[in-house]
Amino acid sequence: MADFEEITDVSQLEELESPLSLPALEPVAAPAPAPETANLARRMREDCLAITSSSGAGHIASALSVVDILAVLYGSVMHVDPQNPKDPERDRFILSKGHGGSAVYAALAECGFIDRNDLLKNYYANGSIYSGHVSHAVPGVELSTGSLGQGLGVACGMALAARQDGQSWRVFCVMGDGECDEGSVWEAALMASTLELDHLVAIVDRNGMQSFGPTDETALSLGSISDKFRAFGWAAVDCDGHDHAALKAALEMPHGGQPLAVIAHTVKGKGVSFMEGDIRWHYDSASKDELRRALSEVALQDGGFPAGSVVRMGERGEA
Amino acid sequence: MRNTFVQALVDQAAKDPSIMLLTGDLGYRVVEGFEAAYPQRYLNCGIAEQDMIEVAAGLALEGRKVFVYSISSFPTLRCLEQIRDSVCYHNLDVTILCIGGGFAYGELGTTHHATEDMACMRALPNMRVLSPADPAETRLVASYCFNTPGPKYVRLNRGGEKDLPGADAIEGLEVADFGAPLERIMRRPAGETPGEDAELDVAFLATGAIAAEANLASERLAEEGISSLVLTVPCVKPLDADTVLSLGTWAKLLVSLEEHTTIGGLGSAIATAVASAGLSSEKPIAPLLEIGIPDAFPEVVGSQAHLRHLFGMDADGIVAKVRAALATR
Repeated sequence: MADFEEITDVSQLEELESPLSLPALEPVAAPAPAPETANLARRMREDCLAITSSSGAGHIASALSVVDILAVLYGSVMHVDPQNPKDPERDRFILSKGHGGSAVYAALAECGFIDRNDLLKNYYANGSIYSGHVSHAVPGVELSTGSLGQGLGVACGMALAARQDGQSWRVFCVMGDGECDEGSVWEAALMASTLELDHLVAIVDRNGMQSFGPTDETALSLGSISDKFRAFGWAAVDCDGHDHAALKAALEMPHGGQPLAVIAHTVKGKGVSFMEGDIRWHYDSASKDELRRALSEVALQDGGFPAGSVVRMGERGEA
Repeated sequence: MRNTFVQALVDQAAKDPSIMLLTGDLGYRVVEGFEAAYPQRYLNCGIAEQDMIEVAAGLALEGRKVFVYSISSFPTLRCLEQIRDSVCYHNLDVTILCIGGGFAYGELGTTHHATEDMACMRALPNMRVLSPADPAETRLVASYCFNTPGPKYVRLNRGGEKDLPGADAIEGLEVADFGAPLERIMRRPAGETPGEDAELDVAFLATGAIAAEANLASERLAEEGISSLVLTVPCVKPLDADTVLSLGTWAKLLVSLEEHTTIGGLGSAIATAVASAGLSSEKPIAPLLEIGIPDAFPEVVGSQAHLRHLFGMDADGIVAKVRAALATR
């Protein structure tokens, strides 16, 4: 399990002359009890907002929707060692929705794989390693992605290797729901169940949005993704993708003999009220003023989000 | 050639436990020997080439040497982006075996012709493009693949090909035995090598099984008093530009021959080498006649021999094109 170092608070970023040097608004008391990974998620949200805003990068809403999934994985579920990112016995992680790369970098920075100040200064910058879509040049990243539908098949190959080698490590692959339009996702889904790859866990960040708006209304009708995975021979479970306890329970659910699909119901832009559910934030980055407002909201989130807070969008026919 | 490669793979797998063979549900009566010998290292990925390449990448990330088997343009064009993003960008030890290069599955129709594959594979960083001419050269290329990490594309013809003349000279040898990289190993399949002072009208550079047509054409040209030399080019990328240029300063005409579109394949690679060297070469470099498939699909059904003839790529067509090219000089 990752060993976290408490990282500097936002005000220390002033030295970097980032937009975060703006004064934060006064926080109010956070609700209790706080999940152990909520603080990590809060810091990751701050990092994602900071680096996308200062660099003018897009996809902040995609990062915010996947932050809690990554916080639970890196903070509580996966066995990874920031001091030894290539540990042969580590759990493998693939972000197949590569456009959420800022959230992976934030997790790696907050967990000590990479230097956080380096990330804050160099994300999206000319000559750096931090491309907008996640890059394997960054320590702790297994696979560069960005073309949707790429990750699950690679995860299948890794999970097969783990089983052949008698290893117990697992492979976690996070996909977007819009990504499930890609046929290659379902090719890999068939293979995973055929081979009974029980080292494999797919997580779908079901935020209900893709490029033009709600998935089912603007693109293809995805309906129930968990039903589809079950039909493809997987164990599948739906959960609130911002409820850390529910995520942890889903990710650790016994699924003997089958690969596991966790459909994590999320809100695109989660944690920043004016970004939630607004497709604009797939493309835009926060201005200084918007960043200040966003950070003031996120600062209150060390207690996490109440269970059942997910507003489901674009899931006609889904219970 | 396919059985030759797979048999070499079976033999090598006994020595190298990291070797795996993945197939896209093809290779009936070809891959079964590997499956029988190493059932745990064989995987039929189904009719799902995109996933097959991704799975190969995942296995290679975990230390496997993965060989992927399919036919025509299925293991390249169907999954081109997976090859680029996962295999080549991550520089993984994955060898893609294509059976049915060119018109080997001629009568099956255009969907079963691999005629743009080398162009696509050549364009990918880290990818090597290998195209042996006969079973003997296939064994040489196989040994190269076993000992060379990184992405590789191997383009084979089909089954039942005969060795070109002189194959015994390379039989049983590995690339290391030549003391040179594979790209420097170009065979002269027939005839005596003329002395360097001798006049040479034509130098053929031919890749793949169609090299046999160049050999026939060379014999016929000799009957007409036109001297020529045939070299096979098993390694299209990287291409050994030095050999190309030394031939180009010796012969009056360079001829490239490939069962592939003339856009982006061997001929294009040679043209680039010749054009790039033009300004700095001390001696003039001969003009290049590119023989390959024009920018068109065949409009009729035909066997490999028929389609070669249709596009002027059989011995008759080659002789006619060379004769015409020399007449303009």
